[in-house]
Amino acid sequence: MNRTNALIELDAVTKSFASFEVLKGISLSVKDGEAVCIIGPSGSGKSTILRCINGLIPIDGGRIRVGEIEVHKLRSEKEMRPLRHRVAMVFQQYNLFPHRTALQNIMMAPVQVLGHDRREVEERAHRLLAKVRLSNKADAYPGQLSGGQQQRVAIARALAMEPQVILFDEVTAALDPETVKEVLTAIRELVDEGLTCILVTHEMKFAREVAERVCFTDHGRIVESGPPAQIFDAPQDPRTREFLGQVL
Amino acid sequence: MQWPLTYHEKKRVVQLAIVLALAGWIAADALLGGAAYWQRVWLRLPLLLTGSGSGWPLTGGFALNIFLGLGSMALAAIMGTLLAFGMMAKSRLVRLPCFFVMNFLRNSPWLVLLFAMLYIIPFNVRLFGVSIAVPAFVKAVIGLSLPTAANFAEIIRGAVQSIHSGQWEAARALGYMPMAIYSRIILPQALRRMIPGWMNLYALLMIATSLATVTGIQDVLTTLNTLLSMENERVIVYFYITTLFLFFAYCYPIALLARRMEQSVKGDTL
Amino acid sequence: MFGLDYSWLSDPVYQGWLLRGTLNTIGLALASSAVAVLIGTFGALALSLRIAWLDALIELFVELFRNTPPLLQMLFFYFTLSTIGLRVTDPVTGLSVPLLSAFDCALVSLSFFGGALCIEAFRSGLESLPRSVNEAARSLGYSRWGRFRRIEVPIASRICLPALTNILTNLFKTTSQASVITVPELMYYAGQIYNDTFRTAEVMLLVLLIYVSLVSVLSWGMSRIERALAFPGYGKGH
Repeated sequence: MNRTNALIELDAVTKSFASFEVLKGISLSVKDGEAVCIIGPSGSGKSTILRCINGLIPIDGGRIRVGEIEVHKLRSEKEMRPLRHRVAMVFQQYNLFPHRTALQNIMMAPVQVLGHDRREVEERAHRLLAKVRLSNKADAYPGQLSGGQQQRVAIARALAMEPQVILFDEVTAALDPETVKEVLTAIRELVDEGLTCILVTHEMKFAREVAERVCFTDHGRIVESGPPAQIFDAPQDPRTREFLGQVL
Repeated sequence: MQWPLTYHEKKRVVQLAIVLALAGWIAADALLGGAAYWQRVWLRLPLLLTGSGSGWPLTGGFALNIFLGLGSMALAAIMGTLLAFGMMAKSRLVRLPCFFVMNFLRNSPWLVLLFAMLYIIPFNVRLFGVSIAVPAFVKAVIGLSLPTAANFAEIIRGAVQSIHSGQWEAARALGYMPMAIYSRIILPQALRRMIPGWMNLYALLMIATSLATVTGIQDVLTTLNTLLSMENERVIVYFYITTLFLFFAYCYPIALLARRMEQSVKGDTL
Repeated sequence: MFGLDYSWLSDPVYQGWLLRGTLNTIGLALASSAVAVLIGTFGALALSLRIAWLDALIELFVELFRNTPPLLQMLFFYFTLSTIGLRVTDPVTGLSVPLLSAFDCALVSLSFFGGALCIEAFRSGLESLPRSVNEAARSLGYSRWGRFRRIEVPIASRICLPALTNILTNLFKTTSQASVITVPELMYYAGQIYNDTFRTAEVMLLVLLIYVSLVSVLSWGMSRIERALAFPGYGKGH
């Protein structure tokens, strides 16, 4: 791949928690508009990769670049702010703020952090709620919504930051099977619109449909990566074969 | 220790420094004339601890506070358990009065309850034609055990209710009878959560035994007051610090242990 | 034996004492509660900064006041603060008098006692926030202070409310101990009345009822506030 036009670039990233080495040299580059799925057994460091990309976890070694921002050089929360504006994240446990309504959850950060005009943000929030098909739930509190609805609000909240990249961290893992579909539909639409997405997921079928590239991680390394057809139908590495044999 | 220090190591160092500073301050004060005062305290310490000048027998002082605490706790455990089962009874006729009693006792000030018991319980009780005098100590035990019992019951109820309803369903599905569910499934789990609560309650009760001085028994505060009437103003500070320290030295380890246990219980269930 | 005699209650003097005592009790409780909540807020705020030396000092304060009898604290403040130098010279009489009155001493001691309890409650409220909520706020670009102000405090304050109710009722009940250092609150006047009338059991029963009613009103009011501020639907699933 041409390195210069990559939007996100990880180079030999390492990270340890105490004595446990979670990432043992991760290199990955993602082009603008690309959808990349990261799959792999639990504990293989998938979520940690996402958290390093938007600076939630500082890395021990290597380099991370998002656009022109050198993530590994950022030290304070203040310096991270432009990065956070550019890279949004959706979590497994939704993590909506329980003390604000769905609409307020979406509006909070753009108004309070980015300092955007309140009226403009409100319009944007309503548009995003319509996009995730939750216009009728604008005034509901997170506690009054189902898991799938909360997750769609969380996606709208991430979009309200007008990011270039969205990181999805196992966003359907905590959901009921019947609500998984509504969330995946919302994500698929974003990918189709050309938003850059990195998804950690257990939904192999979804990964195959939506991703342009699939990376298989195991024990802190990217073992294999390529187009979904290649990874799923003709895996090269025995570890990939073993993993896919278990989950498919 | 490795440099740089972690937050907890730093805190340890500061805590050590505070203790050293206190010791240094006391030493400096002793050199500047405080030694004579500390000597008076040292002289009276056996009296403060045991109620007798020689340190034996244990007729009063802080020892009496401990007896008072243990006696009240024992009585409160019995009453509190009954009250708790009453509050969890199926029949509203049992449940509602128990709730009322529990709330009444929990909402009344310990001191006022103690005074009320002091004056409501008669000085003599007639039992089978024999007149028995009720000593102030017994009244104090009863007065302190009432609010303790209410809290004791509330701890039991809270712990039992915190057991996930799935446990009830699972036990019922396995064919356990209601009493067996309580005794074999719910209570063993709940007990682990009750014990830290009871320990905190005991520490609270121990602190409240200081109120028993109003009943006129020779507890540590009464002893202290008697002593202070014979001392000069300046020494009073030293005596108060000593007495405060007695309570702290007794209650703090209990509270600390309770907190440790709470932490370990937190992890064992969902 | 249980014939209770409440005829003294018709005496306007005693009625006045009871009323004045009740008002003083409420005043003492309100004032000390306000200061205690202030101490608790600033203490918990300071603890959340995780400055080792400051935290060690605050924790020492909390443990000292939590693990000693409030009655003894009050007596300590009352009898010793004036002897170790907190005295002023009365400009009128020229006599040296204690800087703090009995009421002031009770207020200071109750505020510290309640403040220690509040610090602990607020701290554990802040700590009980799920780490994931914090992570979400960070990923949305909130600064440390913005997170604290807009997300942690609004959520944690709701989590703390039941504990705060406990502390405030506890503090209200503890005000009765101020009678020991001659603060003219309800318990103090109760003593005055039964010294006059010798109707000890009757007076104590009535006073007990007044206290229980007031504390019940307080905890009822707090539970109303809890309900009004609760997030709709929050906590039902977990």
